[in-house]
Amino acid sequence: MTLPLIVAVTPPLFGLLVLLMREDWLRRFTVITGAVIQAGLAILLAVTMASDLPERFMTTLPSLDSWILGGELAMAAFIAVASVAKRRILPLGLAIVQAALAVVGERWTGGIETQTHFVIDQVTLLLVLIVGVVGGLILIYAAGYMKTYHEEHTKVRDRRRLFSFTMFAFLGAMYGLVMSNDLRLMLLFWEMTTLASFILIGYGGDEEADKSAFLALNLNLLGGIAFSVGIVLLAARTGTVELDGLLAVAQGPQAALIAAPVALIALAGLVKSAQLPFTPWLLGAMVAPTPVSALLHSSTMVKAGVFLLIRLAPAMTGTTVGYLVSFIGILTFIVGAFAAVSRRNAKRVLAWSTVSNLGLIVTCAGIGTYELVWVALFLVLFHAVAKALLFISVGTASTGTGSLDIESMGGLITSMPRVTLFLIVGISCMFVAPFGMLVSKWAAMEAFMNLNSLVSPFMIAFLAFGSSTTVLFWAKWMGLLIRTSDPNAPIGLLEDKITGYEFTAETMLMILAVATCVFYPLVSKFAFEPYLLDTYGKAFGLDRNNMMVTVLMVGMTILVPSLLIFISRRRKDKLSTPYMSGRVMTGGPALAFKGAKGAELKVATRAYYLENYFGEEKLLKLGIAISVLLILIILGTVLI
Amino acid sequence: MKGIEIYIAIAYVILGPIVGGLIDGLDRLITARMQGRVGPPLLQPFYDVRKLFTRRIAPVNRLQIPLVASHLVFAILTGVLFFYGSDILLIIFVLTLASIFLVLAAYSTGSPYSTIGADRELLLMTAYEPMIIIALVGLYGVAKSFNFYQILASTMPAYLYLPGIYLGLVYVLMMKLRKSPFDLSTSHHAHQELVMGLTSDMGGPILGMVELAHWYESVYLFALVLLFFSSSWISAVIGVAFTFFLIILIDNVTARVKWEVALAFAWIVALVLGAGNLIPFYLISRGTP
Repeated sequence: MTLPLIVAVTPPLFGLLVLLMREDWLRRFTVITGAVIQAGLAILLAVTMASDLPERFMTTLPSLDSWILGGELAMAAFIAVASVAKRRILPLGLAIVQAALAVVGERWTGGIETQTHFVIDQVTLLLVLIVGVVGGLILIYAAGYMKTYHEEHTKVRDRRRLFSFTMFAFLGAMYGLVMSNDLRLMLLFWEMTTLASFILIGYGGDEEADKSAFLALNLNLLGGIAFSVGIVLLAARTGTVELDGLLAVAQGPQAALIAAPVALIALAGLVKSAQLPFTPWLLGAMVAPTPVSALLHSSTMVKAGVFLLIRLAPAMTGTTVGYLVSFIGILTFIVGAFAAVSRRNAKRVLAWSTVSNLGLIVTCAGIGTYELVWVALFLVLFHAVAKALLFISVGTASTGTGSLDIESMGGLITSMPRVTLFLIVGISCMFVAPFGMLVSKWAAMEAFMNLNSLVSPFMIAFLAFGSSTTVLFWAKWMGLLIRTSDPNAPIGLLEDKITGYEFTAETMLMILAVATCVFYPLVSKFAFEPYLLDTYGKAFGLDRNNMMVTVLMVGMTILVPSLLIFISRRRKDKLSTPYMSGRVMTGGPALAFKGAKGAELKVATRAYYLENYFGEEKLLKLGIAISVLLILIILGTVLI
Repeated sequence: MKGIEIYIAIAYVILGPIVGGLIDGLDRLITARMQGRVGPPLLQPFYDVRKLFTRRIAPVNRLQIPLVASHLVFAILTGVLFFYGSDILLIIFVLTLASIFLVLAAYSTGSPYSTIGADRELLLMTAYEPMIIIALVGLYGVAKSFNFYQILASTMPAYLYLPGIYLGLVYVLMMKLRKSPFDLSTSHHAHQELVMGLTSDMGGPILGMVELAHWYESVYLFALVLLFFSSSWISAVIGVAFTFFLIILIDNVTARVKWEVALAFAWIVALVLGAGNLIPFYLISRGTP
């Protein structure tokens, strides 16, 4: 099996190549070539392997254990040096613990013969495609964005070579992670993604960037430690260190033995997927340049977390640990949806929305029935594409308007019409009916209804409240974008600065976002249903008629307004002025009315943020308190 | 039953506004009688809308007409899917889509009255949606189906099993039908503090389309009420008529509330009456297949 190896190794090789290049144009050329090639390879892998899954294979690398140990120790050393350089004690301590665990783990598990190092199945390929295609497009975007970023942020040291290298390495680590069946290998790649995100979040180099980077590092190291302990426990109790070995035990009579390892490994997944109480690391990570946020939120990092939980779903289903994980998920879902209402910073809104959607994925994985795993897989797919589109479009919008405040995007349809289109498509995909995320939520409700469990009505109620609240912040944002205070204003004034790289990536992602909503029945039929049949012995898909209805609706939702806009453009209706109690002033560039003594007063409207009801701080505190309790219960039930 | 759905769906497209307009006319008539007035003729809403369509189209920007027209198209589509027998849970989400087009049309003007009206409409949508979803889940629990006709054909009297959910649904229908005390985003009368809120900057045929969409919507909203009483003909007639009367009565005896009250109370209603009914019902019916 050489193709999977090539897929995984190509990005880091291009990363190394970029590291050697000093000329700006040459580097950018290499980044784009590398991004395209690795995406092409990912697609090639998916196409060639799709017919005969799952595929298992071994690596022929001699003394793999030593390689893993070496890798772990090298990363621990790097973290130790970085911690000492920045005078941080906690990460230093965590790195030492991690190194010690790696040594102990190697002693303990080193003798275990692994049956299968790597497995490629439909879920692997889903993640490979997301990493390759979405990640690749973000790299192309970054090639344009980072140039503008450094022109505007003159204080930030230009370390673009390190930046590109780390982005590429990140993708490579993700490929390795999603293919791993040997948990020790998975842990190695897991720690690599932690390290890569640490470097990228800290790119800005200032106090805030350092703080956020170390917060992400600390929490994820903690997760990594739980992962290591989980593997050692698993090996000690069952003699296997493989994922499918673990799942096999879970089906058998000795399932109770693995409750503790599953809980510990799931804990690592919860940290990485930014569930409460670990959410703050993802919120802090938005200080990084936009491409980093896009990468962390859509195709890497958090998706590694939910990937692991989806992998564990068959072992969690019906267990106490599984239910508790799903409670953390639904709590995160609700808190995320509520907190997003009160935020003005566009990246913060997106971050909370990610947290919320990840929460729903975790809920599904924790309950872990085949129907809910189907939902979880689709949420991963739809979310990756739409959120990547939204993040990079917000980045472009902020280059134009000079602000991340969503209020500053008022009337963006006039000044940046193309970016507005990208944003509207992205936002629609997140919350409106025929598009992906809402279809998944609808499927989740139906799945909960078919679930003969006490938790069902509660979960449905939470879902109803959470998903209704998302309407509040998404629709308000859309409304701001399309505000037209002056119908005669020049179009597209702020789009000059935007590079072709950015527009290319955004256009491609927009097309992908719509395509996923149109072709999802095929994905279900040819990828997810066979996977569920293999794993659970049962296949699930939404009712075919319903799926067709949603696909037709996607078509209508795009065509009807477009057609109507096209037709009404040709109409020459005389425009009237908005109602202003008879005191409207015309002729000026902005909407205005006559005040006292005929003074011209400009109209200013502001969206609502409902801080008193949906205040972020209160919600976060409450969420952390409850979730810490839940985590303690999880640890208590399995360890005592 | 099979095969006839498509004809009902087509009939809905043609007859929907007639039924909706009649509901509107009857509403005005009963309201007038409650207030001791003679009231307009039953067909007055039709005269009003016909007049709106004779006016010149004067949009305030180039997006307003397409967005309002989309609102109308999707309001009709919601009903078509509903009477075609598609999954009603999905349909409720499509209904949200239709409403969002109207809200966007209001936002696009940038005028203060429309903007605040749109803000309030979004808050109302957030307020009523959980209760509607819980109501549909409750109906599913009774009939084990999300198909309009299958629930209709169910012999179990849903109102007996789901009394809390029925009341909760009536509560949020007040919002969806733009009735007092929840007529805060727009109303039929331009004398509120927001002028006409959401529709302040819509006139002539544009406002006519909003009215038409409203008629289409009220047909399937009452069809939803019908599902609670569909166990027999008598209960169906009495149930829907009673609900209709109740809504008009509440409309007449209450004063408009602030959005905070609307949102908070709707959610409390959804939790107490909705979830408080759903959870015991679910637990009891779990044993009986």
